[in-house]
Amino acid sequence: MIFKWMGCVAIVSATTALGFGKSREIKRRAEELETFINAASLLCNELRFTRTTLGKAFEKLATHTCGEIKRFFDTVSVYVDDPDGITVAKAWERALEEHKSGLALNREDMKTLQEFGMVLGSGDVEGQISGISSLQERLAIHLADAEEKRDKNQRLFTSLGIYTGLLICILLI
Amino acid sequence: MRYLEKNDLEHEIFPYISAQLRGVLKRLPVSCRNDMEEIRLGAERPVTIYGSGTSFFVTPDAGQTLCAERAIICSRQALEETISLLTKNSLYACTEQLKQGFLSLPYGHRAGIVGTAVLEKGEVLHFKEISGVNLRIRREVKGFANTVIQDIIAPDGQIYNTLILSAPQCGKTTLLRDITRTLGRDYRVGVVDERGEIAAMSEGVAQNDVGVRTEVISGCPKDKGMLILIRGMSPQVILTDEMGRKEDAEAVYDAINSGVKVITTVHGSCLEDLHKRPVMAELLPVFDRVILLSRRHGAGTVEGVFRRENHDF
Repeated sequence: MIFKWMGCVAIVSATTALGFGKSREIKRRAEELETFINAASLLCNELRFTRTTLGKAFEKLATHTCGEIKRFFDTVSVYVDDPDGITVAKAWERALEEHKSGLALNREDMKTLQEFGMVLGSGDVEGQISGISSLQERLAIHLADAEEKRDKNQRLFTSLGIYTGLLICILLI
Repeated sequence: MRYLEKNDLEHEIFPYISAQLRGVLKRLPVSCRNDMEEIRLGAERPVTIYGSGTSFFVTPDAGQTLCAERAIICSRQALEETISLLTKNSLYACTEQLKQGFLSLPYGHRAGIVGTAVLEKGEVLHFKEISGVNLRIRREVKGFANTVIQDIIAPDGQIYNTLILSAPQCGKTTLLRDITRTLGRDYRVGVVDERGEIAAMSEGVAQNDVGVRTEVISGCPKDKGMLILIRGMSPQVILTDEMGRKEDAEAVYDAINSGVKVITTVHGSCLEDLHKRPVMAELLPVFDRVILLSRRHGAGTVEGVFRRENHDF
């Protein structure tokens, strides 16, 4: 009998953890999109007012962010300033690839970020700022979607985790 | 004259050259690298080195040759990679310099750029289809100013308004840099480092030794920079490189009228060259000293120090 209860506790814990995990991921996606939008504003200021080079600009962005996004910007900064010379687009793409598993962004979000890499470093300041504005607009759309999903589904997934665990236990018992 | 050590080139110049060519240049003999003054890269042309009044092409096995057919060729891709490295993948950050056909590198080195100019309303916006890069290697020669410093400072400690006159590649910027360092020990010195060659500022710190009392404005046109220094830093002397425009001359007058001494450089191979140029001919009377340099015994040969009180000019 005791083993049954232990089993039930284990199942409910597992499903609850899954539910919380999914719920956290939904919340994180919205947070990360917002962070990228704010980082884009910082980048815009760096380019517009101080004409900072990209390597240094990304280094600065890393100091204003945290977690996986911070590590992403650090990686981009290193790759952009690598004297063995890869293009900015490649540096950006490579860094995204390295860090995508640590980010909570979906495929569409990642595609938007990847496309932004193509405009980096080429052209004049106005061109760069235009590219950044375009990125912010697109990310804002993704953010609206993420916030809607978060408001709708965050509590749902949390509850679903608990109830699914309980249901499984009931069925098994 | 002290030359850049091997490690200096590896740290300060080679990282800005395409990896494809860098490997070959790193293997050049030390004696050859020590004499380098310019590395010229042209699209689909041989890699050329200039130094000590001579030049040669570089072979694929890091040898020297005068035969272009045996030289390593700088491919278009290698040139583009070099440009990316020089601009740190940030073309937008270099537009002001590119308009003037150069890029400043850390430590005072400079890269001249040529290509097809893109114009707007008659002004050069930037260059497209860049066809050549000339990496000019600066020399920091501490002690160079010792040969002329006693001519620049009066017995009462006042500094004379001084013009350093020389043809290209004769060491005028090197001399100016060392004069800055020497004066910067004891005087309030201001430097307008328009091309980043004198102090080589990086993140607010001078990479070249320009003296502890020296304040530097970097990347700013000379006329504007001199005014800013006079208003904010009360310099006793302002040093700046490559005088020539009317605006620069007016700034010199303003500085001198404010009681600030000026030391600057100008292109020319003899005193007569100064009189041939209207701006310099008009400006010449404000200077007390003219130092003439040449390459007669190598770069940095001081041909003479001419004094106003002796009616030398």
